[in-house]
Amino acid sequence: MTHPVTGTGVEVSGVARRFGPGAAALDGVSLSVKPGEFVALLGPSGSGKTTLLRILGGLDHADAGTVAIGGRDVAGVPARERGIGFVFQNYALFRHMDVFSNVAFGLRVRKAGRPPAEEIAARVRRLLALVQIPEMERRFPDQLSGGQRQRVALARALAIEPSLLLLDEPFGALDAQVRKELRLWLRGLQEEVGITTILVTHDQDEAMEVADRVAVMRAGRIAQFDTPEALLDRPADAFVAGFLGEANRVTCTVRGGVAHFAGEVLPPLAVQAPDGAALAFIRPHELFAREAPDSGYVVRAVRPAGPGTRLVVSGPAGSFDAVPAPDAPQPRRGERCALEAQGARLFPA
Amino acid sequence: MSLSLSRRDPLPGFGLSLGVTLAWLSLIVLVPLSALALRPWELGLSGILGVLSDARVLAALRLSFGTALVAALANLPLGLLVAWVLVRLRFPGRRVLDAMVDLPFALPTAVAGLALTALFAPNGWLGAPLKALGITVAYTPLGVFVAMMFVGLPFAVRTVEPVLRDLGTEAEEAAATLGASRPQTLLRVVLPALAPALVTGFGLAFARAVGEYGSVIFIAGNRPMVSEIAPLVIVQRLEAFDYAGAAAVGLTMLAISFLVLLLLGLIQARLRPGGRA
Amino acid sequence: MIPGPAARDPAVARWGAAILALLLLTVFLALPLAAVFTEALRRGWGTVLEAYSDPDAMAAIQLTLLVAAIAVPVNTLGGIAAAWCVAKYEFPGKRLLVALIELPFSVSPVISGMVFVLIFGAQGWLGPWLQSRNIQIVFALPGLVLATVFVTFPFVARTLIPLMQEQGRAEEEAAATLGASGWQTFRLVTLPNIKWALLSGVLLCNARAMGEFGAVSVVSGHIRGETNTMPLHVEILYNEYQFAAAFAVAALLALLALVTLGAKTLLERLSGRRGEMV
Repeated sequence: MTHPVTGTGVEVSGVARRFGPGAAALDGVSLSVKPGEFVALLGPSGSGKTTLLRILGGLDHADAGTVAIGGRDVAGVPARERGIGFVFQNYALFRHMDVFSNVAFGLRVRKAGRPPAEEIAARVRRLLALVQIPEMERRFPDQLSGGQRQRVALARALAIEPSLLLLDEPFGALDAQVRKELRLWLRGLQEEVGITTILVTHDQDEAMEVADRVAVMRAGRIAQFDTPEALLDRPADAFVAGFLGEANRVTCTVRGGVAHFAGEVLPPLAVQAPDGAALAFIRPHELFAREAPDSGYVVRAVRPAGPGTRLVVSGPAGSFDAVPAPDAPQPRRGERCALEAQGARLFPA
Repeated sequence: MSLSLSRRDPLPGFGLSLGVTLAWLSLIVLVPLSALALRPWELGLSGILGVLSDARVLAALRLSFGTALVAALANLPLGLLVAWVLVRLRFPGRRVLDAMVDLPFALPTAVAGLALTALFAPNGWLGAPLKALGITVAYTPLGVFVAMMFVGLPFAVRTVEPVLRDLGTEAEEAAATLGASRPQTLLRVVLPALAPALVTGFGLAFARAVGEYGSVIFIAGNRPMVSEIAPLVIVQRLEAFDYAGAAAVGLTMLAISFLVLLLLGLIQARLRPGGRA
Repeated sequence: MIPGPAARDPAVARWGAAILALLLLTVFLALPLAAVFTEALRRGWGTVLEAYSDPDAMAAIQLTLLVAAIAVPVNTLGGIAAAWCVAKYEFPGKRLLVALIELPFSVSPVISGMVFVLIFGAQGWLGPWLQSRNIQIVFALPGLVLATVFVTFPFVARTLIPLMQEQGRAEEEAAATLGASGWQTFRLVTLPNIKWALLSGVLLCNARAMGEFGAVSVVSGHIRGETNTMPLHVEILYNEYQFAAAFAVAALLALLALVTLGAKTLLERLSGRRGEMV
């Protein structure tokens, strides 16, 4: 663990998995992860992300398709022979073992090439130092905080020197504050160790913050696999656009490069999109509100958001998240105002 | 599904454990019980009906099932009281009381039978005062009732207790804030919530009492037509090598028990929230 | 769980209920137990020890221990296997399997013994065949063991299944990803997690195995010194009006029950979990 290890690449192609009758959990998923890369599988619950992770870890199997890790097809290779570090959602620490024994487990159960006891001890201590809980050796899992358990789970997974680290909602059970600290720390650790890492999460902030690339999953398929910036700027479809970040959704019709919003809830907007019916995603910072006494819109709420201000504006056509127009006085709560979109991402309806 | 599971599940041992379980279950339980299901038919339907219409068999079945029903019913208020005390009150000796409830499970039935007989015999600690009141327990159907209550009590307590514990006191407090009196709260809030558990407890106590042998035969006196229970009739027929007849009585007992438990299941489904009350 | 003022009953009702419960349980449960020990000691310790040192009593004690020594391990292994497949895997027919495992609890002890007589007895399905080969099952040790295994069948499985289901399979999966074999996983991960419950199940199984009366009574044949277990010996002594000896042996069995109850309570404290006897 002291020297950086280069991880292996992962090639998933056409993987399908079905549990009983009904919709498939995975429906033809392909994914290519580069050695040393940090990838997040992001999606709502039931999108198949955990199933994919479990198939990679050998805890489940694919009904169709292939999974290659480090260039080797792993179909038929049982979990215990894969040498993959897996961090479980609720950590799955061995509750009757102390921290030391938990971390040492993977080394102690080796039949061939089991290191001598002193070496195991030394390695466990190095790992506990790496995850920054060196003093917890003799504690039992139920004597640790959530964040500490998380670190033990990680140390335990790293102890077998895996070439691939899989994390299933690793921060799901933690407080918001601890969660933020830990994910930054995890990213730093991953860079230090250099291990290929795949993380499953339903929290977009988490995915965007730690991952090099994010695979957005929906209903057993990968909707888009790209860098966080590209996902936000160029969402591949309406689902990705709606799932990532906040956006106002408005139906519209495009005619000659101009979007005409249904019911004229917003002024027409020049766009680059083919003619036809479409769904527009307008982010709050792209929707300007300015005072207009005879408008049908009223400011319902004003709240500070970072350096600026966010408004909730509502009218007969519904409610919008917007910001004050930069060139005008800020509308106050109860005042009437007009809305104008500055930009939008359109998807054919 | 189970096939693919045994081959590809990351946790090995499914095939082995299921195989061992099925072998163990079949050899010890299923094959022997099939003998019970098949042997009576050697007599033909009329033969079975002949066995069952024997006056002594009928009297024994009536005694076993009738007394078991009454004993299980009598256990409900007692079980409810003990469960309530164990869950809601803190007092010295509660742990001893708690452990004591399981005594009828742990005590070998022959010992229980002997103990109850000693206690309720005409010269026993309880038998003597009861005799003065003109009540004879030992060697009468009343003795059968006492023994059946003894073995059934833990079922009544232990099925109600966890439900009462999970129920908590919030619903009762809510009822109080809504202006309900304490008796109203108990009757309308607590009792309905406990009803399914009470039915379960009744069913378990009943099933145990019907089949009970060791605890009963010492105190019952086993007078034919009066205090002779159905399991004893089975034993007697076996000793006379009337296997088919014994099996017929046994199968009938199981069938009636099954019907009663089925009926209780239906009642229970109606008592549960969402059931048609 | 102690209710706040709104849901609290008057002190009179609370104490009345507690005293009534205590009184009823004392009359109903403690008095019979006290009667056994009192009756046993009525003629003094000498009679008690004499009752134990009687050759037939010694034989009964030995036979009881032998039967339990066979039945308990069989049901422990079977129970662990059943709990493992029911708690750790999903498969069709699982509910039926659990119901069948619990079946022996709802069958009368007499019927439990009878089924083996129906198969192995003189008029049983295999009776003539066994007789021609001079193999004794009923009225001999094998019959006693079979009947005992039958009645104590569900104890271990039903103690383990809820616990193992609650613990799930995440720890076992974690062990697999760390390279542990199936046997290592069971020995190092599963077994330590269930040890107290397992011990509790084994204790209950053993108590019932040693104390079973109805089922073994049917298959025993009551041959003194040969096929009498302790509970059967109690019955014989009682029927022969040797009350002091009968109660002396009964007291030994009652002591076993008390020790089992005590151990079970202790195990519940150790594991922080309530075991179910029902």
